[in-house]
Amino acid sequence: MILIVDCCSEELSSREFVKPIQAIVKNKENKIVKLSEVTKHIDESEKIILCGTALKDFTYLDADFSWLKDCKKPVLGICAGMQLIAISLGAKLIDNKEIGMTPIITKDNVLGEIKEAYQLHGKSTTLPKGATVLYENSSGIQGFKKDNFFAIQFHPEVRNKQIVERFVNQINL
Amino acid sequence: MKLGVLFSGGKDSTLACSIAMEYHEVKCLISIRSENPESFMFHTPNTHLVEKQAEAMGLPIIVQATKGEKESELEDLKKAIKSAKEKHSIEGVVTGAVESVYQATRIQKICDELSLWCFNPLWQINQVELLHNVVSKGFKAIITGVFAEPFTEDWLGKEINAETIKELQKLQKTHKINPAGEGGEFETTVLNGPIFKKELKVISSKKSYKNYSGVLEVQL
Repeated sequence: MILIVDCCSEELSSREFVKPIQAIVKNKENKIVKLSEVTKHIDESEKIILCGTALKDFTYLDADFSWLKDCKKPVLGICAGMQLIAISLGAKLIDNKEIGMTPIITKDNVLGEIKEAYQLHGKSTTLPKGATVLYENSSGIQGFKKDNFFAIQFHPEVRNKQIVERFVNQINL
Repeated sequence: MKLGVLFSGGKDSTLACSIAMEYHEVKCLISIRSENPESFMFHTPNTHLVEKQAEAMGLPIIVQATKGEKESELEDLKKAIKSAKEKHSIEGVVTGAVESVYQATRIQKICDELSLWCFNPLWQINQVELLHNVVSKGFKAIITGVFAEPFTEDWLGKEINAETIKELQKLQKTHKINPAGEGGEFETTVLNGPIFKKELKVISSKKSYKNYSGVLEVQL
């Protein structure tokens, strides 16, 4: 089962940031849970996807995501999800607002090669120690990988759905 | 949260409005009346009807005229949203954006500049699912503009219903049209639905059509 984690504080935002991810993984058994309820469902999950949220929403940073440190399942973090993974791995958040399509340089194609991506974020992250950069652009790191963690700053559900498909169908640890 | 809905009078913005009402208080509609039929941002046929639609929905509306030139129409949109924030104390904006990153990017930037939430409840939705939602929620939406081959004149005035959705799906296969008109292939006008306090009746209408492009101008 693919555990889809809703990091939105506003339910109206879930339609925008969570439902499109569920639509991409619809051929696999999946379940949407709120960030505060993840721990109850980790054991039954095969992989975990942490979704993004609205530009004005930072409540996910106040949630308890300490479970991430010990999680051994493959985890894909998108936008807010990347930030949670980065913090868990000891990296720092930095102010970096990007809205709209930007060019992207693929440094490692484990999740596929892309040339541009849709951005919607007010913060990004430094690179955790020992992580490999997957994507970058002129403003910094756009994706990294470390052990079972895959983190993407942009929104692959817009114009780059294959990244989510690849994580779900092809990533095996 | 108090919200303003960017409203064109078509199916997407009306459906987005009804979804927003399930979670928050919609305080007003915000509409842009573009003089440019080729506008990059805004749905143009029958925007003269938005005041009557707002009245039927029992909501105040802010209508901002624009010449519809590429960047000045964004300034006009920002002016309208700012006015909604001042008059109705809105804290967020709702749009009916589905696929257009051009529209979504610009509205997100304006909301960010005005320190407002931005909600796009139809974002990335499957277009056939969107059409079924319009019908299952009980909206009466008619096609009031067609702008692509193979739409013939008799499409003007058709209601979005199960039969029309099947026909649009056929055209998706044969002509690669976007079934919900996301590529600008057609536009709709909503006359009734669960968020309307009264149904709007068409008093008269006039078709103008040539070479797969036409408009049904409606008077209510």
